[in-house]
Amino acid sequence: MNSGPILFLCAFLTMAASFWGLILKPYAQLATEDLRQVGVSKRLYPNNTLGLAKAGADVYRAHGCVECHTQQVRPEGQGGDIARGWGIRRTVAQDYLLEQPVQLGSLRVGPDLANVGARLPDAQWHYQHMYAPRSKVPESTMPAYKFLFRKQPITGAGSPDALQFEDDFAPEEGFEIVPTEAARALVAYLTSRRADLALFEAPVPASPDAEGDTNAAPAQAESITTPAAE
Amino acid sequence: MTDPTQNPPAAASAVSTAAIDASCRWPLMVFFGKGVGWLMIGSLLLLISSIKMHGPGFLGDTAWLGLGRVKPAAMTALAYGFGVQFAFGMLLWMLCRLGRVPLLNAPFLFLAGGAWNIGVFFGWLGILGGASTGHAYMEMPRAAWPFVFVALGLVALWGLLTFHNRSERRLYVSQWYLVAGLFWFVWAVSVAAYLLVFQPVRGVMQAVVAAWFAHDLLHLWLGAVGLAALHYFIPKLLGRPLYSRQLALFGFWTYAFFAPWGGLARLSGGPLPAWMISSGIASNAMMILPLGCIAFNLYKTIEGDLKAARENIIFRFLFCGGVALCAGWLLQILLSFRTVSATTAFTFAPMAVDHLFLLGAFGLVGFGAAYYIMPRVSGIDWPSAKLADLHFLCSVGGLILHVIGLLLAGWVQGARINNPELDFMTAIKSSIPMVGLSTLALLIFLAGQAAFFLNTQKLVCRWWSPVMRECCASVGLCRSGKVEVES
Repeated sequence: MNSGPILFLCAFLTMAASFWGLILKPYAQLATEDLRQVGVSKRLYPNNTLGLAKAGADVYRAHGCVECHTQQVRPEGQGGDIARGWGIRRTVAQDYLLEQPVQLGSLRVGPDLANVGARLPDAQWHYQHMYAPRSKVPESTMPAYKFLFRKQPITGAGSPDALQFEDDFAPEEGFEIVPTEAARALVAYLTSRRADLALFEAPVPASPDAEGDTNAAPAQAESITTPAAE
Repeated sequence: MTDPTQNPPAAASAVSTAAIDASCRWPLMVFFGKGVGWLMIGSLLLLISSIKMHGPGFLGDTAWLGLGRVKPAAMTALAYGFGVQFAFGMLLWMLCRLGRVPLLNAPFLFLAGGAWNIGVFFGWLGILGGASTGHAYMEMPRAAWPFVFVALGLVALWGLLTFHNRSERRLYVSQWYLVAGLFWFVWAVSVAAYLLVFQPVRGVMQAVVAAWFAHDLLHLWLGAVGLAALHYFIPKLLGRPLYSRQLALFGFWTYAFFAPWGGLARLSGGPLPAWMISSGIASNAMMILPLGCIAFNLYKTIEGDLKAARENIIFRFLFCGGVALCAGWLLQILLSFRTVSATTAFTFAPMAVDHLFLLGAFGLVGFGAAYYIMPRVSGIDWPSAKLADLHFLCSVGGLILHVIGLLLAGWVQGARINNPELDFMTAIKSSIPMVGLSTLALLIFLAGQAAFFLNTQKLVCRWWSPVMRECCASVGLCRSGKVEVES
């Protein structure tokens, strides 16, 4: 092969094929996805994450939480995500329709967060865990995000938002720890994370032992009324 | 004289190699010199991020040194600061040498070097400041990209013009990889920056674009330049022709055919239609074909001379880089099979393979190329052979330990996380000793890069100070070069 044009043609065709197959084709398939009316209530899914939770997605991105946490549940039979209680069904493209940016993640040094809002709905738990991870998970390797909180002297009855600590993790006498706006947003985002609505392409298995699971809020487990176009 | 299509052309030509090397001097000294600086920064940040994996309190009081920022900053420094910049240098130099044509109007490329470094620096600062886009290998925020594209445009244009103006019309194997790689990279990075940074696509399509781009960056750009360098330097250092041009041609075509399709295997287990991930797995498996050909061809070229060639540090780097390439692909193929990826997905193992490609298959080859190219373009010999030996030992040793550590950690982590009986923290804790091993390995690796940095700085200073004196003398800042030396 001694001809420049042939070389270019080769490079062009191989890349064009890859661009067609891995960008244009998936785009054509995924672009047809849109908000869908789901369940008896016919509400749109995914919910348009508004306000604080949306700002929290930005905090999540800025601090690179994605470096250690995934937000995807693999299907049954591939790994043990569902058995571990990280979700009641696999996650599908529909779940991420309104995410910006989509933070699937590729490393699990911390637990998966696709359903953390269903698993741990308590904001106070998240504040304490964010401020001092080992106050909630004894041997946690998560860094403490102390810079998302303010330490201030207690005035009057104290701030209603102050973190309540047991023993070791509390600040010294006369001070309290309150979350900053960024921490509030991040926790609002985390507690909004749930991908447990039954979808046409990802039904929720009606197993009897799912009853006690925090993820299986009965009102959510409705079947879809408008199945996907495909 | 052997057939020039079988062998990189030797000195006998209209333009002397010395003139070609001199024409490349300014831009290449920037690409390699700054690249080594980024390598140092990237290795240091990678070490810090690895320490944070098992010591979460380490440097944990500020937002900008958080793990989630240090890690992408490290990868950006390594991929864009070191990797792409070294690749630019190797590309331009090999295109000039193989085409027997000097680099024309090099000052513009000097500008390209400046723009690239400014862009990557902005991007790097942006990541530490919290402006990352959140997509692996595409983390640099918007402000960085105009500089990056100006630089890339200039390098691509100059690469093309140099290729077009070549006086040796017959093409050598390396030129296939270089020209195709440049074309692929420009395409991939433009599409990815547009669809992820400037006009973000909706939903999981973002993950598809990011995975496609990460694969293209590692294999169609850095990988292709690495292969070009292997095909160029190995026959050159041994002074014998490539074993078979036909085999190389087959290797190139199959590489060009299969490599661009592997990207979506990175999303194994993800929320995507199954065919997308399967396409990646299938094409990764097919990569055994080009890799087998290339490895056999290069092995046959080396065969018999291995013992003698081992004395040469450049050859040692290239050889280890080639081994890293083969090992990396075998691991990548293995890890993309569904039965294996059920365990290894979302663990340290795929990260180990990425690092092996970036720092081993490309990095080690790039180091070897720099050891060959830098003295020739600057006209200054390497100041210290000892530092070079240290660099080699620490780079190869550190990398082997790092990859083994992460692979073992990944396997333990994956297997235990998949066992729902085990508490999550128990599963993670059991992988920590191996992550510790990889931290130690990164410390060794960093020591090697420090030796390289020191050696390069000495070389650059020796080259730079007479140049500076001449410049000063010409504008009348000092009377002559001699006065400076005596003072």
